[in-house]
Amino acid sequence: MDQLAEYIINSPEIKNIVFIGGKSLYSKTVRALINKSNIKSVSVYSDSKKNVKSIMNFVESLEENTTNKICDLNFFSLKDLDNLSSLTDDTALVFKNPDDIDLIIKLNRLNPKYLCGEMPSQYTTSFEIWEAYRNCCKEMHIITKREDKTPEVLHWKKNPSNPIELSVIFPMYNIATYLPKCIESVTAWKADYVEYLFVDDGSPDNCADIVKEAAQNDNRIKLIQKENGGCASARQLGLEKANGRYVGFIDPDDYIDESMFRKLLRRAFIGSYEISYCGYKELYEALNTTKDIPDLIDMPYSDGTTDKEKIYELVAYLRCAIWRGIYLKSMIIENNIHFYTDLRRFDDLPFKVETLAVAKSVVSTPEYLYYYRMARPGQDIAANDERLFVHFPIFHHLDEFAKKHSSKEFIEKLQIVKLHTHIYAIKKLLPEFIPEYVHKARLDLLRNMGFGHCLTLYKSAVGKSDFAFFVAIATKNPSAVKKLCDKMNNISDKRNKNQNNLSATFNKFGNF
Amino acid sequence: MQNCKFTIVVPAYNVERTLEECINSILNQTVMNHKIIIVNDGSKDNTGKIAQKFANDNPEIITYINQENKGLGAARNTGLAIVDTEFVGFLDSDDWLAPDYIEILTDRLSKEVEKPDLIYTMPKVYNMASRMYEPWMDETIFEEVFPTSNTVVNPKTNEKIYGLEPNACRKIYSVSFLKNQNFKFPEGTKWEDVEPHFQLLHASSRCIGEKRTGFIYRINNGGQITSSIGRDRLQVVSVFSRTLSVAISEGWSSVEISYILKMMLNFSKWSMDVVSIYIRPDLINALHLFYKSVPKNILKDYYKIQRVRKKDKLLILIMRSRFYKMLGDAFTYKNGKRFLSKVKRMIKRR
Repeated sequence: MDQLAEYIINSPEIKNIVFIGGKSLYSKTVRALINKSNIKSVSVYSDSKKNVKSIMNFVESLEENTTNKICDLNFFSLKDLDNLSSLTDDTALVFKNPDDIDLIIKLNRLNPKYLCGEMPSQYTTSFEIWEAYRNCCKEMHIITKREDKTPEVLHWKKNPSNPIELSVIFPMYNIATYLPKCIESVTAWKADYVEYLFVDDGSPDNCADIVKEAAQNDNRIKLIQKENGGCASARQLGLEKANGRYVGFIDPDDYIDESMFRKLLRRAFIGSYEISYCGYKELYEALNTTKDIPDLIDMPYSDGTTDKEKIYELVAYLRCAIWRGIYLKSMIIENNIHFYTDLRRFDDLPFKVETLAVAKSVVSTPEYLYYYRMARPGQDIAANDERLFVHFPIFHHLDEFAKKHSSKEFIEKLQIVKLHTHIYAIKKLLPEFIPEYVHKARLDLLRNMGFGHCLTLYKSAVGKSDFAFFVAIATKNPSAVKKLCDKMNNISDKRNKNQNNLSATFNKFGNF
Repeated sequence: MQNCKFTIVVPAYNVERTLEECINSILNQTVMNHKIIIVNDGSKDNTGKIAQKFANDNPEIITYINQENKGLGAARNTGLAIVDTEFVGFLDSDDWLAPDYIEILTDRLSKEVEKPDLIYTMPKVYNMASRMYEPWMDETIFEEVFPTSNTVVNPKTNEKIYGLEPNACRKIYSVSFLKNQNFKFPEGTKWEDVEPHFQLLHASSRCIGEKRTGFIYRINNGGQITSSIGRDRLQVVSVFSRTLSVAISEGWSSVEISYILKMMLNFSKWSMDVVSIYIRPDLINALHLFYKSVPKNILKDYYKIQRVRKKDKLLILIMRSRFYKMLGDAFTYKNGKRFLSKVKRMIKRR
């Protein structure tokens, strides 16, 4: 199947075609178009004699058989494009492997309503073409061919009521000191199809004033104020107010690489992906160092995937960090995904799991573009007491979600997330909370699956030490759990010590 | 518009996102030889408003009916009841028609001397995740059944046609043929395409194929998951058991029945693979009851006619036996396969 021709002949609104071809072979596409009754005329602009000859031969062979109708077919050279003025509403501008992609970008002066094309993967991508045509076009369909990989398709339809493509949501609470740096890094990208929604979650400090001031210089910034209700409620309100095709979330105490959102959106657009994400760095401000966090951002995810099994892998093994990604808003709405406002912490975990459970296509950018500030006073992540029991309501929500939405592969992955999360919590917990946590974790782990099924699953899916943790939890043995913790802590202590020594030496050399 | 040849019935339930595209594709045909009936099946979103606007703008072509929610089969029946043209086709509102659909069918029918009962078209698949067009699932069987463009198939003599996909939208139906059969889609059930597929083929004597055109079928569209992995899956079993019992009581030929069982086996395997683990035990239970109730001589004929592979025979054997629960409970289907190979090895040793 010729994907480009297939798209055009199945679009009922396209009646005429202006076709631009390069030196490489394109006659097959034109041949597929000229004897379709819904297409009235095809004008081919090309300097390639070989292709023109091949098409003419085909036309002659068709004319021998009198039942075939052939549309109005004309040939021009590329120079004739200068004489062309704007196109009618039912005319599509079509290109296939053009020799000069800049020529295509310049042709946006023709104001076509439809743009379709096929091109090899190169420095100028379909996203740049989209940027040039987004104001005049109603619909675009641009195929990017890649060597030895499936092609990617940019499929875009204009939303006539609002031009916003990306909404970035910032839940704010007591982070005024960090806010200017964050705003500066985010607004450095000047695209007008982005909006920044700052949700003031009843913060006692002056972060609303900072945003108001910034909004005077940048009309993309909007401030939403509400009573304090927790991070989840702020994100949820932002999500409801967002106009964009995609939504992203930033924690305003962090900041980003100035190119992050452009890169994410570009990658998402090129293949019409539902989720696009990148890697992140941990930022230790006191030490003035950053650390790249290893994560699943390379192959196969950097090529983009529509394979559900690979996407389920991400449910289990991708780090929970929703702020380094953008999400197709219609996917979130259609699947009724929302932030659970009853959760006061870690509301990003269910969001991550649910979006990845329903996503049909995912792509990553293999770069570290988000700076995640560590060891800030009052940060969530430092808790080691009953606050960690929040994991149980989270998994309660996720079990409910699983019942409604998803398949057994998803439930298996959810079991792995559960085990990893419980182990993470147990390692952090103060000793007096461990027995109760172990008891609850056991009930939680065995709610979806029997003990036997869990055993076979964990045996193949998690490491040896995690498997030992599961056995200790499932057999209601807190003391064994404690022992395992001590063992793990010893190992990680040693590792940390080594690392600290290393970074100390590093700093020394840095000072020289 | 008077004296049209075709009517396209479009049932619509909560499809404000895709309805416009669907109706536009039927209105934007290269030849106008058809009417449209939109049946709003009690939608809770703006579907009704969109459909009403289309009907107001094109009063000669579009008839709009609003009814309370009764399900896809009932909505199709509501449309079917008021059809006054020679042929009728159905289109689900998240799919769309190729622009030359009516033109090619008109052209084709003008060449037919005798009126066909069913016309099989060749749809295309549009994958919403990768945004690529893919060939329809049964292209090879279609080529076998309709080797030339003017083949006329009588299902009594060429049973291969039963192996085509049971999709109701890929066919155009002769209205007089449906009226003679007193035909109605089954109501209140999912998988409503299966029973008509077998019943209509059994009753028909002239089927033709037209591979140049068809509708475009969206896959990986948002919000479809729930119905395919949830409790609705269980209805697969009841649909097939109804089909089978009708076939047996009406004394269909063993070849026809073997095609029902063949499709059932494919559906069973597929359902066991995708269904959520909460529903799985129930599904396996239902499958056990189904396979247990199939008479032995019919199974034997089925094995012989369809040349069923040993693996599948073993699966059915276990389904029929007391040990069917082994396939369910903790085991996933993949584990089930491993289990089957273990059993095989044990049998061999003995």
